[in-house]
Amino acid sequence: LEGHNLGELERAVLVAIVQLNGKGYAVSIADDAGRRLKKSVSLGAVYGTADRLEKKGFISSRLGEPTPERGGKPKRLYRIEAPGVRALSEARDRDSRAWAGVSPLGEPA
Amino acid sequence: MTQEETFTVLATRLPGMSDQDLFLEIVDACKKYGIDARTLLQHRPIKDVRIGDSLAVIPRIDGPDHSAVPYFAKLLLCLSVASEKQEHALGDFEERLNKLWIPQFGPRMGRLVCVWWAARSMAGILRFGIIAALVDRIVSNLHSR
Repeated sequence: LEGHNLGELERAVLVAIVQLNGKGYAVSIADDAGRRLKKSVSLGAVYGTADRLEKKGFISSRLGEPTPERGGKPKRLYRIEAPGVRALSEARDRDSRAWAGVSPLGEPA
Repeated sequence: MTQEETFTVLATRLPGMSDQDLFLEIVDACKKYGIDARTLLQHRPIKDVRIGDSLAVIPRIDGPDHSAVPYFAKLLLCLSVASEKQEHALGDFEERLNKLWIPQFGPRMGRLVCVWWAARSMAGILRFGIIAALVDRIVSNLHSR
């Protein structure tokens, strides 16, 4: 997985899935990712990203219980898998390395 | 509003299951939840009972306080989401519609917002389609020269 570049949305979706701890579904993931990215994230974007991450083996999904506010339709709940955890850690480490030694922006080094 | 009117039934119609068998399944579910199935089915005839994936009695969802996803939004979603995930996507949009868009924008505007977001779900496909059309046009122009 070394060198696998997660996009901004992929990263936000993975973090949301980790944060929601197995209870994340498209609506809650879109809300969480939107808060992190400070922009509205469409459900369609979450479906596409989750599909890609699932194909890569980073996440898995299962069916949840149907609920009344969803018209009796079940949720698709996502959870992160070991390759996803590794990819996310790697992305975070890469970011830390990129920023190492840089003084806070706006202040002289 | 009577108790019977506040509930709706989801039942599974297995292959070869008759209306009578389905009715018995619904009666069992109603017993489990303490609802008079005969009264319920007077309000909702057997042909109107929703056929879903699981057998359950749940609080009524299609009353005046609940809106289904508009047909055009459904169509857009069916075009943009893989068939095995369409049901969940419709559920997600229905939840958003009833918990966020209708309370925020009102019923009519909320449904329009729902269609807008469904259309946005297609943005990736449309972008791909436009690029593919452009490439096709460029290639055909090159061939014609």
